[in-house]
Amino acid sequence: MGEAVRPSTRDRELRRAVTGIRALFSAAACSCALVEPGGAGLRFVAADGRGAQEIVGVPLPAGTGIAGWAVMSGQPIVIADVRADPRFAREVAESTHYVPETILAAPLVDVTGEVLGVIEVLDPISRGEHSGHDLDGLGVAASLVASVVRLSSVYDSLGGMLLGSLLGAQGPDDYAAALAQVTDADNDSVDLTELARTFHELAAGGPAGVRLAERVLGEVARYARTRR
Amino acid sequence: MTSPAWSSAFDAPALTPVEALPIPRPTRDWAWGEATGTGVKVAVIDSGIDADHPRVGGVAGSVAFERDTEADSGLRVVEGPHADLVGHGTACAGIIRSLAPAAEIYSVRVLGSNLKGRGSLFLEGIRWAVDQGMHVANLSLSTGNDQWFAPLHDIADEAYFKGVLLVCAANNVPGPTYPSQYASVISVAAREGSDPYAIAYNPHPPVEFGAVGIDVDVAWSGGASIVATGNSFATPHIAGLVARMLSKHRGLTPFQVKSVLQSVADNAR
Repeated sequence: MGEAVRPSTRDRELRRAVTGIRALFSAAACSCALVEPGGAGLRFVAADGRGAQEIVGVPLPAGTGIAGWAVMSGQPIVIADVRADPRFAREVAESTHYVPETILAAPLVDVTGEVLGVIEVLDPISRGEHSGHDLDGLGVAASLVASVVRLSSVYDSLGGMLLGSLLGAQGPDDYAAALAQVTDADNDSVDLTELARTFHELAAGGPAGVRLAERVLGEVARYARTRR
Repeated sequence: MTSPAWSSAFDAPALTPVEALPIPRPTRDWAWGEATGTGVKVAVIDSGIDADHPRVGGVAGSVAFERDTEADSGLRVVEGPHADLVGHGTACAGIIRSLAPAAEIYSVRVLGSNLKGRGSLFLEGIRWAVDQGMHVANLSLSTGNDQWFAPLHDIADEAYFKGVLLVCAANNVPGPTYPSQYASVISVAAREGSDPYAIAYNPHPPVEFGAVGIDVDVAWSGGASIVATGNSFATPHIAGLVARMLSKHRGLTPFQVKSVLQSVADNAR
């Protein structure tokens, strides 16, 4: 349901992102791979340019290749002369039918520090003149793409909760009550909305604020239980 | 050439002169001249090392930490030779070998078969280096997950107090990353140039030192060599120089090593 109500599909947004990043770098190709549930590997979900059609949907084993290293290490990296590594060249050629000379890779790190995937840029035209600048720019772009992925994930989670709440309703009256609850239409939900807003403000202050809020709320809840 | 974010502090026009203490200053010759890294143990905590690569020249030991959902600790330890899964660890080892040819290099592989639980693998890799008496550990990796702030901070402090130099790559992605953020480690960013001995000091931390890391010719897996850019390639330059320094001046503490590095920096006057 989250996918149904969010403004745009994740993969469509990622396709727009890789198209824009490819244009920015005047690159032969740009692709995005996301960490699979469980972390066993990556899977390419969006690509633009050379080999794009072949690579979307292709899985990438964890911990291998330049993309895997960027995800595991959390570090952006530029590798030129990648064809010098015969193992890498063979693996890439088999999956994309395009072997680049240069790869830029930057991890998708969200605001919590979790690495969600990787952005790769193949054969940027500026190669050899501004490799440091390219790396910096790609790091910033990757952080924005990570926000899109995280937001999409949040939408899906909220949608799942909403769906679960509505599926649990018994009969029209119950359904209306459940719907009212999830759309914040009754008085109790208004109170909860205020509470949520307060916590959102605390969260904006950083992890220390969140931890403090959790501890305070925990103590209040324990006190409330003793008063019942 | 424009440099990565943290590297901008080391661009020639922006490089801030730093005050030297009014005491006899060590020179680069005093710091590491003629030294080879003999007797110094250096752990490369990375993707593994291709020990047969001619630019690596063998390793003194290898250990791999891997995720294991059936183990109580959530991971397993595999001793013995292993391959480099990517080539990055081999690149770091080759740079260290070029600067400290007699150093004992150990491969500590923490990048492996699963992309989850990176923080625990980093932590165990560093703990192994501290427990096994490594003198220097090269970490071209980091995490921004606050869950690992305290555990990594603790082990970084333990390393500092035991005299183990943790040389960590700064990260150009937005937000703090650990352990490169800690004062107890040597944090490194890439700077331009080709002189592997040309280091610079940044008086505005968290990133303290700059070393060669842009368009560097490095060893890679499969016996290959490539050209690479990143803070992760600047880091082993500092690690190699620290290994040489420690082989010449046994018992220098991390505090003293940092002081010497600052004194011999290009921008120290």
